[in-house]
Amino acid sequence: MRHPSTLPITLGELARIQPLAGAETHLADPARKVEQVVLAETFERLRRCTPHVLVVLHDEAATGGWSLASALHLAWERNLSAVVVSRAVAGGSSVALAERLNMSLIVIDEDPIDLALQLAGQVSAPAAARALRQARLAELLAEQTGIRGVLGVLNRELQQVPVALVMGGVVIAGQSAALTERPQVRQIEVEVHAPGERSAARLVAAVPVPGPAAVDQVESLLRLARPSLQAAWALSRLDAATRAAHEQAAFGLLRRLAGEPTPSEPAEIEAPSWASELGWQVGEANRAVWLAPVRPSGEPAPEITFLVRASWQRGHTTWPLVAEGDGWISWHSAADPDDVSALRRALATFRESAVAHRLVIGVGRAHAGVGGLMRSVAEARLAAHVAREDGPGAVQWFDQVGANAALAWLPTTEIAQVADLCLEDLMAARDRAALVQTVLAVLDAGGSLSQASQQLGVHRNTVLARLARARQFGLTFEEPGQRLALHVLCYALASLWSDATPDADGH
Amino acid sequence: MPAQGAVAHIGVTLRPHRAYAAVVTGTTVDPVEPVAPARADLEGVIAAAAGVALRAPGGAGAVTVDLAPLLNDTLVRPEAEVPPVAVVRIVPRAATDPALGRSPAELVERRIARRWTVAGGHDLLGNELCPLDRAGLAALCEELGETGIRHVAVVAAGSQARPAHEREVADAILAAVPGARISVASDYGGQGLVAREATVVLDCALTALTERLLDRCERTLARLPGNLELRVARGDGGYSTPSRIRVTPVVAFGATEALELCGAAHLAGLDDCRVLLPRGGKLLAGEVRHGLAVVRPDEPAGIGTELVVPMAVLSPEPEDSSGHLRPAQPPHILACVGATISQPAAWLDEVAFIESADQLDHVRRDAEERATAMVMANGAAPGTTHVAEISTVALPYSPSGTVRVRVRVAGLPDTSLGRR
Amino acid sequence: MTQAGYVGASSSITVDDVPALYEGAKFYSPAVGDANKSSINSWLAGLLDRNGPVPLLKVEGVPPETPCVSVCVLGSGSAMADLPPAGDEFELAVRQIERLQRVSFGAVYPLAAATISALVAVVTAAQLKVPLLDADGMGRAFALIHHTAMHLSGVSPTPLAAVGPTGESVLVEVPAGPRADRMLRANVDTVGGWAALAAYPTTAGVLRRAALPGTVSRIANVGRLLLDRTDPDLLVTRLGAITGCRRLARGRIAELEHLSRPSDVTIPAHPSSLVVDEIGGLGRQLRIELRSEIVAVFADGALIAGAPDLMCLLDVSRGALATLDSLEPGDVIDVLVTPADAVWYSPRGIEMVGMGSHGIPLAHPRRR
Repeated sequence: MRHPSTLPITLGELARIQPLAGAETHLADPARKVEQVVLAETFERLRRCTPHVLVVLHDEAATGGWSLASALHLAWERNLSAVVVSRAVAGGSSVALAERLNMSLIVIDEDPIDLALQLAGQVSAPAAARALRQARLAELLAEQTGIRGVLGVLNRELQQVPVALVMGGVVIAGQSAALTERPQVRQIEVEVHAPGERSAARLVAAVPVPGPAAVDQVESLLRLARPSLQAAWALSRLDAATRAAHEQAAFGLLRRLAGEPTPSEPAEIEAPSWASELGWQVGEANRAVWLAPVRPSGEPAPEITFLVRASWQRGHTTWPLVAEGDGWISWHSAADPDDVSALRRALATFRESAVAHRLVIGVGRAHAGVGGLMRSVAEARLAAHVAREDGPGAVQWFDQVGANAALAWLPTTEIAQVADLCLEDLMAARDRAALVQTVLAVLDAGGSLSQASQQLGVHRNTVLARLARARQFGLTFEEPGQRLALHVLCYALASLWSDATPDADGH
Repeated sequence: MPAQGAVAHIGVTLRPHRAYAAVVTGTTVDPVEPVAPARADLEGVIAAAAGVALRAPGGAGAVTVDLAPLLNDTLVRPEAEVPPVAVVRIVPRAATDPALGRSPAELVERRIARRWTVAGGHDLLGNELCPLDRAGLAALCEELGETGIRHVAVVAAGSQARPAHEREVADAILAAVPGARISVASDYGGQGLVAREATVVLDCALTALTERLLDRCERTLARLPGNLELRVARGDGGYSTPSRIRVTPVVAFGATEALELCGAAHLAGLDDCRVLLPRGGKLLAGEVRHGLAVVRPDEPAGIGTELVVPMAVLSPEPEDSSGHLRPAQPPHILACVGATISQPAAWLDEVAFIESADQLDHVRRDAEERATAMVMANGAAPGTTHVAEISTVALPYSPSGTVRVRVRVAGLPDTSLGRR
Repeated sequence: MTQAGYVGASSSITVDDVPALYEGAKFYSPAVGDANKSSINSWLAGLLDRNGPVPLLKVEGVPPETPCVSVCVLGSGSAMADLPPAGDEFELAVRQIERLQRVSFGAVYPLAAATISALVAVVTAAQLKVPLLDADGMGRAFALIHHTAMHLSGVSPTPLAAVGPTGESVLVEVPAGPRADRMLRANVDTVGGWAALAAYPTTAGVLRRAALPGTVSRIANVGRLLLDRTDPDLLVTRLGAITGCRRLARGRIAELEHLSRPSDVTIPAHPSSLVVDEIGGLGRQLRIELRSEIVAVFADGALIAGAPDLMCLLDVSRGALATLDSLEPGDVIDVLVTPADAVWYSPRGIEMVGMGSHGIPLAHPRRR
């Protein structure tokens, strides 16, 4: 059994429950604790207030704008928590003064005496008041049908405590500030098991210590959110699965459309109306994005698609995400083909998730119309293959790849098998990797030894010695008739070995 | 429909010895020189200005005329021909001291050929203080008929709150002297019997001259192509239609200062500023707030009494005038520019009685609505009016709840007027 | 007549002094606007021109047995502006008391040397052809007719006579001074919102201890400074030298609030307040509580000046006093405070005219 907190209630907490929940609040510091409620009928009573008192003005002390101004000043002098006053007395200038003095002001419509009594009860029994708050929060949470909605409620309710829903190191919803480790901030985690999920998600809250909300309260509020979150999750998974199927089918249709009638003039095909119903735009300048795992392993699991979609579509809810083959296709449509700022921003935001899911990203060029889109998709896919060289999180733009994309398609494993047969001695040599790397560098540098040595970071004489040894094993790249074949062979071996460095020696 | 491009507006200021005009098209100001030096009268200057304006890509807009310098000149020259004015004061008792029975301003008093006091009047909240002396009124009408005076100014104590006595007197006079031109103080509101009386006396005294000037302006415009709309600048820096000014000419009095202030601010591209204007060898300071000249009912320089029509009141140049605008353009150009940018305007200055915050709201809303109706009568397009200033202050030493309400409303020109 | 040690005293009031008296009277009560300034000034100037200057005498310079009477305008300056005097009201009021008491007053003094009341005392002296005493009962203006130094000294305000612009009059005799004001208010409304009051008939000997000395010549001196329109900063320094006033703050009027305190019908004019944003300095929010006079000034909620202090507003852009009936949002004003005469800071004085009497139950800043 957990013990309810008996810490003094804070202004922020009080303002979230009745009677103050319906009041007009101007809180200078929601974290201010309230230790006592005083109903002040005179200025004399105000002068006797001790710090951390919430004062409700009444009678002589609430006779007009001047009295409120004077009360605010006294409250500031006495370090009180807040001043509560009837609407009849508070004007715009009073709010301005409260802000100037950094004093919390609460404007009420109720009778000040009744209100003071209720507040006094809440302040003297903070546990009861908090229970009331939890009940209210539970109601709010129950009304939410989406994950974002649940996180929104939590973040609103906990004001200075950021909350995020995290899965596999990626923020799915809420404020990512919850994950930032800072001094004087304690992170609270609550696991959320979604039905049918392999891995659990976590609700993470960063609680400032000392702060407005006690750690155990935050934890109980997070637990309170769990059922709503699980329900929302299930619902959105269902939605997501349906949507994914929809999008896959729709994209297939688009592709057929682009392929069938006049492939020579693809720009003339108009995007069908159902595309825009899905929120898709196919316009003047369509730039496709291919999201692919660094190491493809067949069609990705639906939950991965779900997670990728969640992070890819953060802030770009209308951008498509279509699972295809071993990756996902998305695209951005703009009027100006050179306008890539939105895309760049999206890629930057996605980077963290890409690393977490071990994805690489390829970006196609901008082309017009449905046919153009398909062309850009193909380019993006090529670019993604090139991006694999740089590991998880890498982004490659087709504009910068060009013909090099071809290299990404080389069947390196098969070529390496060729090497096993025709360069038997080389493959048996212990320093074969260094030799192949050196030959490749020299070929890449167009025969320049100094450039190659610079690139490899070894002395020029070392390069000369390795080339001599490589020649003994049959890497006679000076002969023009063999140069291309050897260049390709070296490229294949180098990329194969660099991909699988750990067991290269244990071959 | 106007062609594409900025419309050219014409501002005219009528000075005693010649008229000046400027054509303002968007941000460019073209001072207009008459075709020949001999044609520096209002006809020549307006015709020359229209010639420039009609060539503007957007066509010519309105012609706004500042009559004030000519009106003022006529008042300050004792020998100027001004029709004699009769004054009827409606107060409970006639003054026992000569100074209290006349206007403190010589300039006003010398236009008054005859005075009558008729017993009657109300207090500031409209309570009758004394029944109207009908026998006295009848005698007055008879005597007035014999004098041959045709311009009559009528002022009653408390008529801002209850104009009944003023109206009854005006009706009786009109019946006895058909064709009499009567100005009643309740048309202007404001505070102070002496100021209200001086206002209606000037109103009477300026009627004939204003009529002649407006006739000349309208004839000139009628001869020009392009259906140019005529507007008349007001003391508060706004404008009214010529037909309104013919009925209330004193409203056009003192317009020049407000126009110069607004013109200077406009040329400097400022909405809020203080401006130094040359006056009689010295510099005097005035203020523009939110694009409108700061005006108040006060004693205009050289008049010798307060008036209830608000005008820009200039104060001596402060010792530290570093933050003040010192316009490079001559005053008449500033006045012409100010005239071209002036808006239809109206104001109210009244006393009301409130007992609660709700009543205060009601009183303010009511005043706003009436001022809005007035500004539309002065040429504002419906839906464009806004309350530029509103203030309600408690009247010191008056019964609790007595407030003075002042409202100033401005609007945007109703351009359909020009095509009528 | 030489009066040693009496700085700036004048021995008579002439036509030339009229504009200065008017301006100075405004400093000591910012209530009244200028709607009838020129006509009141020309009335007084005409009288001084016809009847000659009015001698202005120190109370000590008058034989102690001389019967004296005070006059003032009771009611609203706005009402008086709209219903100007016929001219004989003050004289008639004094004559009524003379008839009742069978005396002939040898001198007149202002009930309050502030507002138009200061000028009508000169008018009455000129009409009666008697000297004016350089003394008054308030040294500024307060709301009720028993808010006087004479009342504090036990001098009765009655018998008193009030004559309205309608020519109607009332004669009041009460055993307890404070009742007189209540009886008069209803009558004042009936006769048009203001009345000429003659009250506190007494002798010069009594006034030597019961009236505030030097207050008429003081307004003339203050008025001369105000007429010499100078830079507001310089003006405040000069005014400080002769009145002890200082500037509390300079600011721009942001808002006018009405019925800002519960209304108490025995005091004229309902409470309202002025919210002013301080320019420069600390950028404080000033709140100026108004009744017929300025009652209190708060800065960020802290009381920095309050009745009986005399507070007035200077329109910075015009270098002239701003009157309470002409304030508008957007105006830039200097808030000036001048200490009132010492008698008002006594416990009885504070009780009668302090902030408590205006529903502000706070201790005066000088007393904390």
